[in-house]
Amino acid sequence: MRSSAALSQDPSLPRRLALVEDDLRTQRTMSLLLEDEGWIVECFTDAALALAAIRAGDFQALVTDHVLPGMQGLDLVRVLRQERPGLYCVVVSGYDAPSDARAQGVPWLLKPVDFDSLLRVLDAG
Amino acid sequence: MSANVPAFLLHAFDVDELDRDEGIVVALDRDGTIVWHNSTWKRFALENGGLDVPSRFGLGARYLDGISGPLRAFYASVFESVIATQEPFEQDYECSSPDEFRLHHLRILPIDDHGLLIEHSTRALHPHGEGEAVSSDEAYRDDQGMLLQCSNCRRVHRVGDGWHWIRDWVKVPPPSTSHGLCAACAGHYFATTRRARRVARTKKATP
Repeated sequence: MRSSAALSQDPSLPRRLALVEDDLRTQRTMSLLLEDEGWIVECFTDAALALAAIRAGDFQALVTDHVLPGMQGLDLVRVLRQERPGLYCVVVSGYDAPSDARAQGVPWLLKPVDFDSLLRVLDAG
Repeated sequence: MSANVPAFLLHAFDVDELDRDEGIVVALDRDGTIVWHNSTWKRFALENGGLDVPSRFGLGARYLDGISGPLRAFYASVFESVIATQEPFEQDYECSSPDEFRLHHLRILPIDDHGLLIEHSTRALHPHGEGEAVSSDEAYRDDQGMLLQCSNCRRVHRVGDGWHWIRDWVKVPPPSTSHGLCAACAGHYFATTRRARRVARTKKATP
């Protein structure tokens, strides 16, 4: 199986990204911008639904809000890092990263997201 | 509400939500002509200027014609600068009545190269000599108990009633506050980001 890094560097292959964002306006905005960059984006408003879809599907990246109804974004990332080490995960939030997220090296961007920074982080994955 | 809305505005902004906004929202084309305004603009014009004001300062009118004196030249230069730099202009201004202290916030946002979105919102409104009432967060929580704060302008969404700026919640929002984008900030973010990416791709493609 190819790594997500290899997939993201081959522009001929489709790249699927799960976007978890409970604010529908932000979700639509980010989704359209990411699609402009060639990502196939699947959107979720809920971390549990995203987790089920990622377990069942083939995704190369996850971009998730942190504060969500139910399961939090950072908890989703922790589960997926165990289950899907090839999946590249980024948290976006209006809050600073908590110390444990920093200690674990979870990529964390502040909202409103600087889109170039997000693309750089995804490309680095 | 989407009828007669310029395509460049519809493309980036949630126009229906801007129309419901309790603040004044006006869109201008590059020449400063009013090409769209929300219902609050029309209501404000009627309340403050009489029945002919909506037609004099409605669609097709030049926004700067409603501004006289030295402020006209000032705002003309601000409009030019916002379009040229694609950087928003913001300022607070007081517009109190004999009974009430009123502080408003003006934002002038670029809409790519097409024009401007002008928004006047309320920052503070209370009787003179009294402080702001402490806000209860109940009216701001959705059916899942979450609050939504715009990550850019920091206004908070009151369920069914638009976006409000609450000073105490700017630095420390109540628990279970999620961050998104209000209609004006989302449209501005989308238009400017897409424009910047288009420029970057063009530069990359040009040897």
